[in-house]
Amino acid sequence: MKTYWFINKYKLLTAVAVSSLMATTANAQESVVPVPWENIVSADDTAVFWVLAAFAVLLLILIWVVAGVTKGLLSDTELWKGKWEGTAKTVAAVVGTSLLFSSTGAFAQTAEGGSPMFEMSDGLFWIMVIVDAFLLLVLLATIYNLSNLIKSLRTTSEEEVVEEESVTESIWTGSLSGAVPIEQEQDILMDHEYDGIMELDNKLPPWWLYMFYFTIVFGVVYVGYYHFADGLSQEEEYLAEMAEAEEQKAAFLASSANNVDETNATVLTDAAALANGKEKFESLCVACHGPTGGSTQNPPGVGPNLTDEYWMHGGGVKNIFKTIKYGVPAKGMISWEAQLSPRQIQEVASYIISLQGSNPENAKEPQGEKWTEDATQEVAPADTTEQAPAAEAETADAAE
Amino acid sequence: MEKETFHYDNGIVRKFAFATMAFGIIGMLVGLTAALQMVDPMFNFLTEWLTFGRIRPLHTNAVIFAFVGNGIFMGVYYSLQRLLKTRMWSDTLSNINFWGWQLIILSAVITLPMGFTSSKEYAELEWPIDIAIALIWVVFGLNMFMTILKRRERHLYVAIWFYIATFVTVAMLHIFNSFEIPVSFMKSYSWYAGVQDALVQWWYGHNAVAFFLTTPYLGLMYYFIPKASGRPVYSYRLSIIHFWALIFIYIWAGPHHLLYSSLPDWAQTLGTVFSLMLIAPSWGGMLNGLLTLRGAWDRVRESAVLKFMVVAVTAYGMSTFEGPMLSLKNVNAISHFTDWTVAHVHIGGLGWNGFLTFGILYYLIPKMWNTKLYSDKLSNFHFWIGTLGILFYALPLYWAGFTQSLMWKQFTEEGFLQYPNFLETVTQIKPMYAARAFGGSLYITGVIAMLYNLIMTMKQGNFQKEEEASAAPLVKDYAPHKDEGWHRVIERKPVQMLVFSLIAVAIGGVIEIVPTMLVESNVPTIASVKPYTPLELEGRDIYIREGCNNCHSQMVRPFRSETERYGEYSKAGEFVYDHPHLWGSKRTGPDLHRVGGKYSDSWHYNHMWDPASMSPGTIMPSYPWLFDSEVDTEGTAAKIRAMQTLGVPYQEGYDQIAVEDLMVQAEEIANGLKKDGIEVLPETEIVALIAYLQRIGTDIKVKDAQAAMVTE
Repeated sequence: MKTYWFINKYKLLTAVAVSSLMATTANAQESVVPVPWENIVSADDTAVFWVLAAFAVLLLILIWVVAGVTKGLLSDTELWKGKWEGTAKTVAAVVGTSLLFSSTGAFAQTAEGGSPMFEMSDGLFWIMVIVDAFLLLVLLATIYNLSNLIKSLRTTSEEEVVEEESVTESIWTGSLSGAVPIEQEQDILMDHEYDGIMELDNKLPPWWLYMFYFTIVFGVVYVGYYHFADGLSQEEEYLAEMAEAEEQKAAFLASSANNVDETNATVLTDAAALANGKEKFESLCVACHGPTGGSTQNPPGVGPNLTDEYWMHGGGVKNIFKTIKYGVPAKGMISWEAQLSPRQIQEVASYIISLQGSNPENAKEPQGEKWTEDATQEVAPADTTEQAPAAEAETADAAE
Repeated sequence: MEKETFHYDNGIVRKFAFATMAFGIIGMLVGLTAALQMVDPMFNFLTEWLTFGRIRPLHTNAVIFAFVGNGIFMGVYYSLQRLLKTRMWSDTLSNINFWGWQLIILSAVITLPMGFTSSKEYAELEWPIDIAIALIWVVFGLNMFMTILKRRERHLYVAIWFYIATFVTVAMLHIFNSFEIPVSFMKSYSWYAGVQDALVQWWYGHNAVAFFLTTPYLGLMYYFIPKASGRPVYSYRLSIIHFWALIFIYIWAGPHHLLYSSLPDWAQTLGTVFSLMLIAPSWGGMLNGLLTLRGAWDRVRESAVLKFMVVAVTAYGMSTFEGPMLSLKNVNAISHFTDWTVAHVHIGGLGWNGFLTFGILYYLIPKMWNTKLYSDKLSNFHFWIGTLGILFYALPLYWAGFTQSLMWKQFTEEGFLQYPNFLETVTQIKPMYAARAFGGSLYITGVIAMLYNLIMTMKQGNFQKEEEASAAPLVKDYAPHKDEGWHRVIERKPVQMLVFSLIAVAIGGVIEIVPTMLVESNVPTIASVKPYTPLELEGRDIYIREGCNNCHSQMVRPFRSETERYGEYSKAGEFVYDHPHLWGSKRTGPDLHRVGGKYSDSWHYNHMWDPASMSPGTIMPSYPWLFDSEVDTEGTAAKIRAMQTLGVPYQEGYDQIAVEDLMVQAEEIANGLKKDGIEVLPETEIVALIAYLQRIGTDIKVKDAQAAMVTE
């Protein structure tokens, strides 16, 4: 089954949002909904796996770099005398653990990546997310360590402070922002001031500039693709989506118990079918026909009484099937064809028939003509025949 | 040259500061009420004045134009004098600006709950107030510009560039979006119809965000962050590039509010690509703000002022990244019409505008009262509870948006909507609405703490109304530096600055709007689309008055999930007589563009009387007053004439017989309802509303629609 590419991305996004929210709002989530953390990926969605795996590898590299720097600083024993020994040991322990972890993590990655035969599943997806989250935590912890370490180094002596600062400063300034270090900012201080406000003249951060260029190029390509190449217009997109849906639907209908319509519908009597019918009735039909199916006399209900022998558009399962399916828009009965499958319509119609003669309290007065079940009765009494073909034509058009 | 002594006017700053604080709390409390109504409509206390449809515009107008608006004036009047080394040009104009603006707000507070609205988002106020806004805005601009002209500082600082761009652009947006034809004292119809109206509206609406909530606040950031941190601005050249890029690009982005709508594809594309290009110019502002604090981060830890400003600028960076992402059409297909958008704007509103305003207040009040802040602890409390409030507000709404959109689009294997009943998708996210209201109340708690703190600060200090300063006047024959940059020249020529800004912001609007107005192929005509009958027109005005468009869109997008749920997707040609358009921007309830003929008249009658009777568990309020009040047919003829002026083809002299036609149709509906056992006077408003609801989107049959599509 082909799906639009964004569907999975979007589920992925949902999943990420959910993982951050789960702790606070898990209780509010009822089981009725499509639980966002299920059915996130399909078996052939290996791309998702590789994205997560790539992220994990990236994190591992970062951990390795940060831990390496920390280790490098730690190994300079000249800096570590007396009172700092305790801290140093703790830091070393944590760094060691994280290095150990990263190596086992890397091993796990290789093992997983090495087997070409695997299926993506929700379980695997969440494992990957958890692994990534854990790696992220480890990375944050190592960064925290490093910054603590640098802080404690700074306080050891004035000279070292300057040295360390320029080390960190240069990472920050260098290729990332192109900024002039604070110590040298006098060189780029402009010769004006406004109400005491001075201005530096730092270079535009290179990454910022390239991002700007990229978005401009993206814009040009986007316009070219959608208006001068084969990008679909929104109408074309829609037609493609509908054609695909139609194919799926046809395939499904051909293969199931749904091969039923108003010409061949029969009354179902098994308890399960009636229970299904009742459930649909109680969620969809009650607004107009009342919970008993008898509508109401006082105040007057919107729809007619369905429990008596009088029918406005013909009784019997075939006519009821038809009325539910196409509706009688002129009378306010809407078409349910787009919301109920043929099987479900059959179930609701059967449930309605099961209500015959139940005589509920405060039921609406009879409307329409008395219906007698006649074995030879043809479907479609006069007043629905006009309705049906028009409705059929319309839905057929809509489907095109 | 000898120095001159003069005084800064702190009195006007104090006035605007008080107004900012007062309308901040009022606007937020109205917002909280609206949030509670989305959990349970009983929070409208069963009065028509407080229904969601009426107080939602009150909330947005109050926080944008009253809270942020006064915040802008407060910050501009304070910083402008100091950056130019001069007092405001005219104290009288300053005061007209102040009192005029407060009167406008007061009139909004009165008229919006009464249902006087143009229905255009963020421009709901009716025509007399629109004129007042234009006048007061010009007073502000004049006062600012004259102050600039008599300055003692030769070059204009970056903050002032932003103030100037704000002034010209808001004036342009407000005037062009408010073209409307008055029908009576408090009723008008938009000059534009349908697609054009929507495009102009979102050109305005988006740039109200850009030039009312963003550029003036960037100006304030450029003044208050360096002042509060004592650090030089990070990069002068970044200021130049991001200023011009921002104002030039921003104006194009409006159509991203109309993706997958009936707006022509090419205009949608422009909206998307210019939104993407906005990331860098926006982030230029964020970088210049945050990197200015380089070397002052230790002070950020201690100073509430700087903490608020850092979070504000960070929130600005987040929402200006999110915005372009939401402008990508496949993301927008998911996010649009859901609470995701609401969460997004509140990151900007609560984070950027709110927190920057708080930071400025914490900075200004002790300064102007010559004292220290009353309680640092309390300001820290405000900071943390405010930050938590933003998180508790936004995160549930992000989830609600995702969840609901997912439910709207979910199909079963049989090819049916998994959740065909729209209400199911609403009840599902109600807990999120409750969580949002909780987040909002945390944020308000913080604001109350701030008010107390600031009032105590004022009590312990002495307000200095006139602050003495001295500076040398400008010399006539100025010799520029030999190697000065090109931009330095513009910086000492304010008129050029104004003209260039206007040119920069006019280009995008002209290129997008003019062709949509003039080129016919952009709105293909559909022969079967006819003007509304007089009764439908009156019903439509009731729909507008009750603000139905705040929760119901009238724009079925070309998606399978929408055409299955609502019916054929909306075509540009269907809206040619819609003055104004009512496409909406949020679906708290289902889309209504194909509601015509879907339900019976009696269903609508019962539903408007008590929505829960037809849809148990709904959060739609009931509208009992529609069943008592009668349609004011005295104004009908004038409405028809106004529509004729706007080019709606009613036959010559139709205004004279319109009321007759109206009564005939009303009686038809009343008689129809009688058959269902409902007694109703044909003159009542509910009859007109039913007439309109039954008409919406019924002018085209599927075949016409397809024919129209082929010709496109």
